[in-house]
Amino acid sequence: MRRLLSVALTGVLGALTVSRASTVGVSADYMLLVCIGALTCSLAVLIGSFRARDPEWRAAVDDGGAPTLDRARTLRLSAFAVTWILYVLILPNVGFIVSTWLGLVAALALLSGRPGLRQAAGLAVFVLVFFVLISAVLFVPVPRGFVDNEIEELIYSLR
Amino acid sequence: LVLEGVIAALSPSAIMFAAAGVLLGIIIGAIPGLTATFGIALLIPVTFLMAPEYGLIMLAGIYAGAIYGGSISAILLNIPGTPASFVSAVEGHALVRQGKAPQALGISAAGAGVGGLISAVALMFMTPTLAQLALRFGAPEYVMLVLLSFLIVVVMLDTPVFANIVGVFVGLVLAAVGLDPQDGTPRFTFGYFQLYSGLGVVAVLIGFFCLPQAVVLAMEALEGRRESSLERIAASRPLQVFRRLVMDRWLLLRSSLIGTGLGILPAIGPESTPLVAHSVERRLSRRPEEFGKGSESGLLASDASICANVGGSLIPLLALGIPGSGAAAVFIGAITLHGMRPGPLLFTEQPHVVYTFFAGFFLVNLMIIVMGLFGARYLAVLLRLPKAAVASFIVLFSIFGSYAVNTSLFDVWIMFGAALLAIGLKRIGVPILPVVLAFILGGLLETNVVITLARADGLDYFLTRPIALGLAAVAIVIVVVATWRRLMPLSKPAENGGAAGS
Repeated sequence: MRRLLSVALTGVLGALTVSRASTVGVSADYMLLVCIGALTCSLAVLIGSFRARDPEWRAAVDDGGAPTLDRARTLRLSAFAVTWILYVLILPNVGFIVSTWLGLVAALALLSGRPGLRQAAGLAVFVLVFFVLISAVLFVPVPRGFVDNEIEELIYSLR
Repeated sequence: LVLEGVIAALSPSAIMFAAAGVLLGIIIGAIPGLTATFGIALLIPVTFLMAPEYGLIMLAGIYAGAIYGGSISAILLNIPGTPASFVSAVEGHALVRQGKAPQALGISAAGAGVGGLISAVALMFMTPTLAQLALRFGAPEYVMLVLLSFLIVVVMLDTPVFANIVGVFVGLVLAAVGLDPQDGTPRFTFGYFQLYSGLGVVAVLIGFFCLPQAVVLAMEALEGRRESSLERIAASRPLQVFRRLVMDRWLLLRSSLIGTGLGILPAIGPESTPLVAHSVERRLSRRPEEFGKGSESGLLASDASICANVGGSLIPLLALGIPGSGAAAVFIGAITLHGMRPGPLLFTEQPHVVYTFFAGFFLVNLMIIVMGLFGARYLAVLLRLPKAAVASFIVLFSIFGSYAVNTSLFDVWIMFGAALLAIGLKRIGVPILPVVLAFILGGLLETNVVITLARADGLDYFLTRPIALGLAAVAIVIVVVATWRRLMPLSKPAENGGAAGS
């Protein structure tokens, strides 16, 4: 995995270097120099990744006690990541309140088991308070859905 | 100006934002896994609602508060809340085992606060002097200064030199995304017009520091590492703590000066200072055998140096625009986003902001003493938070934080990309600090390289720039010393082994 990532980094930097090769000007020369430097050093890192016995490299990539997960837990971690990507995708369509509540419930379910009714209700209250805070106090225009519009109208009618 | 700054910093708004910053910082620092850099990156968007000076005071409160807050979990649980608190964990937790938890928490708070106050004095008097010198800087001097910062980071980090250099270059490439400053053509934008103004600083910094932390916490939650249970802790006795401060007054001053001095150097964040201060004080102590086994003096030296480092790291940041630590690099991003240019011109363009900030920094450190002495024991409740909840809320706040700056979901995708890059770089052994430093300073470097090359009409141009030549000489000395140290055998176990007394 480490070598694959090193190859990917070298490949990306190589492509960027090639893309800058035909440009002219002082700034373009500077950028080309940066790209060549990055490419050269990433090659050194790639070669270093093959020196598996080198203690300096092993210490550099050591996670320092970070947990290692079995297959099932890795899948749950991946699902946790996918949950938040889906959250960003559905946010503009579903609105802030519903998507945030769904995102939190799903994320907590994946990390610590299915949340109970009280937990889910608590999360709903948190999301509502958070929405009021960001829309009425921080004035950040978040994507809105049906529920968001209704809540906002309620807030303004109370004012 | 100083008086105006003091008056502004004593306004109810400034006091409120300083208190909020310190409290949030302590909370963030006390939760194991969350760092000062994380706190600043996540809360930058919140400060947009405030006047710049108040926003900066709040961020300074988060910075200093988080560095101090790390000591709370270190002392009570032997789990350093931030990497800077590992010496506090050794000394502080040994004191807790001796039944001296209130005294340990009190010494930690007072030491951190007084260390921070001493660094605030240095910040107030050294920064304008350094900025005056920096006003003589032209493009070549800035180029050399930025290159010197990169060089110090490259040679000081423990990771392999090539990995550190890759980090710098990757950061420079990220900083180059946007329009070419010379001809205005798009560069590394891949057809996305949203990238014409460059990568969003907040989005990238949140991606670098917050999301990877959420992943680690999620992994720990899945692994089953649970929150800790703690007994109720008695209140600290201020008189007893004060007596310790008076007894160890010279230790306190020395450790604070060490912390401030090391903080001024780029790349030497609060992580490495307690080790230096602790080992110096152990050598000077009449009872060195107590160090590492629950020494109140050892804890005081450690915590004073950590918080003094915060003030030290802000000196080159405000005077030169060069951050002294990873958290300070994020801080520079915040200053830029508030529409200010960190560096000597800040003192001429917005002096009221700078002097209010100076006075506010004193306020922040006083609040650390008060909140630490009287509130640290209540914050122990934070150590019981479930990791699954902390991880989930970090992701939510990270998404919201990166979205809020430009109200753009494109920035959220930038943040996800930055997080993937940070995790990938970590996997191949490339540290994130050089990437951040180069990302923040890349624009400054490129602009000044272009100006220098346009003005230079031969070698004579450089020979008439003594400051640039001096900086180049320092850079050469650093390279020679670093090369010599790497080539020399590193076999001095007797000296290295007990540095922390642990």
